[in-house]
Amino acid sequence: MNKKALIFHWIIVFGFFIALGVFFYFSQTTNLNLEPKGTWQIDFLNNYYFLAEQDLINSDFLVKQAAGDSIHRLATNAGFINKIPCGKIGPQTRHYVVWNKKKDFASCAPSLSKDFITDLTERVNKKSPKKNYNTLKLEKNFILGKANQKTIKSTKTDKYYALYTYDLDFEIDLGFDLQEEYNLLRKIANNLVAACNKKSNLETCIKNHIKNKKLTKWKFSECTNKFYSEARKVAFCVESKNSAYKNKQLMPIKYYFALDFATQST
Amino acid sequence: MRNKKAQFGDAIDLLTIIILLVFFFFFTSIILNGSLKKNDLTSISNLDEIRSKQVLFNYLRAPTENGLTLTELIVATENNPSLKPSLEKNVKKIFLDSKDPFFKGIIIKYPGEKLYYPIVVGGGLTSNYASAEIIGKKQPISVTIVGEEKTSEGQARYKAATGFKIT
Repeated sequence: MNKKALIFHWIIVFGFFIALGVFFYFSQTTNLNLEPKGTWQIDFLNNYYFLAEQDLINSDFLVKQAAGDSIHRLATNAGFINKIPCGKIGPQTRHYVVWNKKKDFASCAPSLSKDFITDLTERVNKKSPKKNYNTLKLEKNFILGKANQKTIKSTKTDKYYALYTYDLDFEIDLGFDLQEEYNLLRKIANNLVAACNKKSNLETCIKNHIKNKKLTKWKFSECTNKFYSEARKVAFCVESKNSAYKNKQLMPIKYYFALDFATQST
Repeated sequence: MRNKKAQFGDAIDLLTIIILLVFFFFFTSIILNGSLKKNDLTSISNLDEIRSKQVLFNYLRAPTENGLTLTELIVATENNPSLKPSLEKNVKKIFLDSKDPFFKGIIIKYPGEKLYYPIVVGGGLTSNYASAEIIGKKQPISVTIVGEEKTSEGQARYKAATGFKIT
C-alpha cells in the first residue's frame, strides 16, 4: 500500500473512533425524547376519567344525604309534606299528624313516594342547581334519578387535548324499602286501633298490646313512655332499626304520628 | 494485480472495520435497550397507578356490613369515632376478600387531625398509590390506597441502606 492510501485508511479508522466517541457522549447527555408507552391514555384516565369517577362518588353521596334529610322530614310529619287530610294533635313543641279517622286508614294515607320525591328533588337541586336533577323515582331500596351531563375539557396549558362528557344520573341504595317500612307501620297501627278503639281505658289497652306484640320500638310522644292524648287521639313515636342522614350525620329514623281511637258512636 | 503485501494490508483494514462495526452495533443496542427498558418501567409504574385508582374507586363504592358504602362509613367515622373498629373490620374484609394481594389497605387523613389513619392488612413493605378526596363534614377527607412497595422506592431504600445503586 502506498503512503497516500495508508493515510486514507487511518483517517477512516480514527474517524470511526471519533464518531463512536461522539455517539456515546450524546447518547448519555441527549434526551432521545422517547415517551413511555400510553402517556396520552394515562393522562386522560388520570385527569378526566378518574376525576369524573370521584365526582360521581361525591354526587351520589350528596344525593344520599339529601334523601336522608327528606326521610327524616317525612318521618316527623307521618309521611306528609304539605296537605294533611286528617288533622293533627300535640303541644306547641311538636305536632303529630293523625293517620286515621276512626277505622278509616285509607283516606288518611300519605302519598309517600310522591311527597318524598318532591322534597328530595327540591333539596338536591338547591344543593347543585347546575346538575338539574329530574325524573327521580323511588323503587324499593333504590332512588333513581336523571341529571344533566357534565363535561371536563382540557385547557390551553394542558399537554394533550381532551374532552370527556359523563352522565350524572344516579341509582342509590337506601339500604331499606321506605314504602315497605311505612306500610308495615300502618298495618301495626291498624291492628292497634282495632284492638283498643272500644276500650274505655285506652292507655292500659295500648300499653298491653305493645307489650304483648313485643313492639319494643313503639313509644309515646317524644319516644318516651309519657302517654299523650287528645280526645282519644294518641301521639306515638316509633324508632326504626334503619338509619338515614340528618344534617350529614347518620341517625335512626323516628316516625312521629297520632292514631285516632274514637269509636263509631263517639 | 496488487502484490501480496498490499492485499494483506487491505484485509487487515477491512477486518478492523468489521470488528469496530460489531462493537458499534453492540454498544448501540445496549444503550437503546437501556433507554427502552427505563420507559417500560415508567409505563408499568403508570399502569400500577391507574390500576390502583380503579381499585380504590371500586372499594369506595363497595358495600359494608353496616349497609353503608365504604365512603359513607369513612365519613360516618369522622362524625362518630366509635365506628373505628367497624371501619377497620370492614376495610380488612374488603381487602382480604378481593384476592388481589398487590393492594394491602388504605390510609385515611381526616381534616383537622394531625395523624394519618392507616388500615393495612398483613405485613411487609408498602408504598402509597392513588388518592381520592371524599366529602367530609366540612372539608374533604383524603383516602390513599396502599400496595406492595414500588420498585423505585425499593431501589431508593436499598441505596440509602447500602450506598449502592441497583441497576
